[in-house]
Amino acid sequence: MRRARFAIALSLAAVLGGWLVWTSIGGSLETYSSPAGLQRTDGTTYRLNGLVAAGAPVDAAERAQGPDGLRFTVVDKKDAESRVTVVYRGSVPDTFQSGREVVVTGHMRDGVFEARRGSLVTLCPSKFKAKPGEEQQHPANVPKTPVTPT
Amino acid sequence: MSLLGRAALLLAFAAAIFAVAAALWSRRPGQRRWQESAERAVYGVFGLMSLGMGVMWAGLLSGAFELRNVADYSSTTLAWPFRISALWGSQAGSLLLWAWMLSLFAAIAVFTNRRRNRELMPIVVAVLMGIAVFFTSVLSFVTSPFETLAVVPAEGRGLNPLLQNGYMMIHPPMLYVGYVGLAVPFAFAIAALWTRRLDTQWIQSVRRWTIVAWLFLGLGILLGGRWAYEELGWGGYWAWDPVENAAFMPWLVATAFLHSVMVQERRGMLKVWNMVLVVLTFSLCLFGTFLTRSGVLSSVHAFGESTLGPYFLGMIVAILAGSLALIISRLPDLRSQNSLESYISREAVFLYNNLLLVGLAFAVFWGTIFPILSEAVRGERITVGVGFFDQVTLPIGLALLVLTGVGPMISWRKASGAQLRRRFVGPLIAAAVAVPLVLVITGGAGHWAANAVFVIGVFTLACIVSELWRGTRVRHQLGGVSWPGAFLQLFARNRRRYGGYVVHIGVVVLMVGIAGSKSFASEGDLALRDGQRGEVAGYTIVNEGGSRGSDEHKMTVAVRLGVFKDGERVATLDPAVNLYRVSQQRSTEVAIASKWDRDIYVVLVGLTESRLARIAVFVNPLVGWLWAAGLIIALGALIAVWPAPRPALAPVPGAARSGAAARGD
Repeated sequence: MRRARFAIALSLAAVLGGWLVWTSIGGSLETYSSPAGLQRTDGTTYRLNGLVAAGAPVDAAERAQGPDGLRFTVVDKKDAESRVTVVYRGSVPDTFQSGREVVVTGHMRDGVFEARRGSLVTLCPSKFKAKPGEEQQHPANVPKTPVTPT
Repeated sequence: MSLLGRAALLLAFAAAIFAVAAALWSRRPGQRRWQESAERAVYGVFGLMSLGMGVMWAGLLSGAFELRNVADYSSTTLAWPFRISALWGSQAGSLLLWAWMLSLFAAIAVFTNRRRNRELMPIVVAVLMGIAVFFTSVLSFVTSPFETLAVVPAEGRGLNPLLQNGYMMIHPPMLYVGYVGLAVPFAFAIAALWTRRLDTQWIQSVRRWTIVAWLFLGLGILLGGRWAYEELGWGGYWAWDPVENAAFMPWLVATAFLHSVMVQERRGMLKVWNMVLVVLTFSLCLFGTFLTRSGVLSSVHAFGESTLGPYFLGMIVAILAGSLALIISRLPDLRSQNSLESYISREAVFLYNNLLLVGLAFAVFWGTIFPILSEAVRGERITVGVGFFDQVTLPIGLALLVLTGVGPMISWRKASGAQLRRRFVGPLIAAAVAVPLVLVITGGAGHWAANAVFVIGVFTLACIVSELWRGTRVRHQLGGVSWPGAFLQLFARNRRRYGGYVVHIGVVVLMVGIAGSKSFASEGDLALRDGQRGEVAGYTIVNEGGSRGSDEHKMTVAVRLGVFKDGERVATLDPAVNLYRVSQQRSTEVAIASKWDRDIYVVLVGLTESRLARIAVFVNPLVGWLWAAGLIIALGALIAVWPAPRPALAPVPGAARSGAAARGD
């Protein structure tokens, strides 16, 4: 009897936990994509991954705070023909420059990738040999957390 | 130099293999003398690993650029403290540090147990040295820290400026002390299973190890957050990034373990559960190292492409499978001596706390590996955003905070209704009083989550204070001791329990700090010319002049900002940006004015030729509470592990047990 009650209590807890995880996951899905994969314009959130095309502004950080935002082009890592324009506002990582690999979160609107504020992350390309190892590097790429209470 | 280092690692590899073999052989009848031999081999491994570390450091300090890791991570102009910390800037170097710490801890474990736990020690040695075999083989055959370059450069590339920071010098080693330290409880658990000595002896032997490793892991995580906060300039300290999660998961499970072992010691229950927790904790430590090393999550992260993934994965699978098989084969010996008598009892609360902690760890795990799973199942790499983690953590965190206060107030076995009413009246009144106060201070019900944390925090704090008060009063009345004397005696006589309460206070402070800084932060971007002013969250920021400078390494632009509130100057801040000449890398130097209730955090984004300064201003309430919480938790943990004064005549074999009994629960 006691065992049965215990089993019921445990499974109830598991169901509750599962429900919590399920509902929480629903609202926060983001799909990784290259510039060519940004097909849906229904507000699907993408994490766009690619390289910053040549000609990115040198004063990127300042522009990203300006009225028009920072505009730059992201090209596919393998296919230089596949590219998309990104409009971004918020803080720009120190390592942002042409040729850098970036991940930026947002959605497509009118053929332009509208980035979420503060979501720009730069990665160290593997060619850049001074790849610092593990913990030391990672927060440099951390996106800004939206400060919204849940 | 390379040769000496490689030789030391190879010999350490051989000595570790010998230690494993000798330790296992010593378990055969009549072969006890091999045990001593195995233990000497452990010291040998430690000596050789130390030699390896010494060679690496000598190379870094002397600028031996023929070594790849020296050339890539240091330079002649790098200050010497950073040359030392450059050791863990590289992948091979950080694995070297891991392995060296493992050998150090194994040596300490062998030394402190040279007269105790003689039956367990061969297996403990075999397990720890088995892990050492893995690491030394990776260091010798897969990624050597002593790899040489064909062409010796005249100058190294230097250390990433982001890493030239005091927190970065101690954050990785502290994290590693945590990771590696948790290998020792794991080894003792396996030894207990293997030898079927499944009483609480092994738990008591590793209690201090576990607390200390847990503390270092926690402080390591916190220091990492502080580094991110001060160095990266996005105004936050935690982003649910896979690498942060990788350290957070073992910490959660280790926290669960620290609590559930008390149930086993006291009531002989949860034996299988404890075994599972300790195995899980160490596996997660390895998984954390794996995540950061394998490149499986490379699309979010900048870890260099690495070939280590399969090795680590293989090691984790081997450890999980081996440990599980061992646990299953010992199930009859792990039967519970008691059963749960009531759902309102200390052991039940510990059980709830365990379920919540492990559940949270599982949710974090799920969110962390979701991209890998979704890619495997649907072919699309889908990740979960920060929202998921926040949403899951909030209810579980609130429930844990309640239990933090409730747990210690409920008696073992079965709590009576009258007792519950008597004990919880005070804390409940305190919480009720706190509700209107919190609403007034935070300005309404809009931030219900943060308000809930504050109110529950008051409740929990009141619970802890009333426990301290109750204990002090009893000592004062019974012992005829003065009030302060009674209070001190309380801690002296039962360090583990009251040290634990201090840790709990730290947890309350931590949660309040997180709630405050997450819910009430405000930010604003300003563009100010000389003398102009702008406003963010009630603070007036005045540009008091920009400046440009340069030295041989870098160019610097800076701006002086006056911060005013209600017409009074509250701070003067000098945010800056450095541009390094060689690497062309930007480095933002954040300026922070901290007070107990808020941080004003300013980032210089740019300074144009026309002297227009663009700055980002963050006002982050209660961030200081996080760092204070770290100190409180450290203090509490130190109280808990501080050795009790030995009785005058300490009998050797029973000393641990009677000491534990004197310390109570």
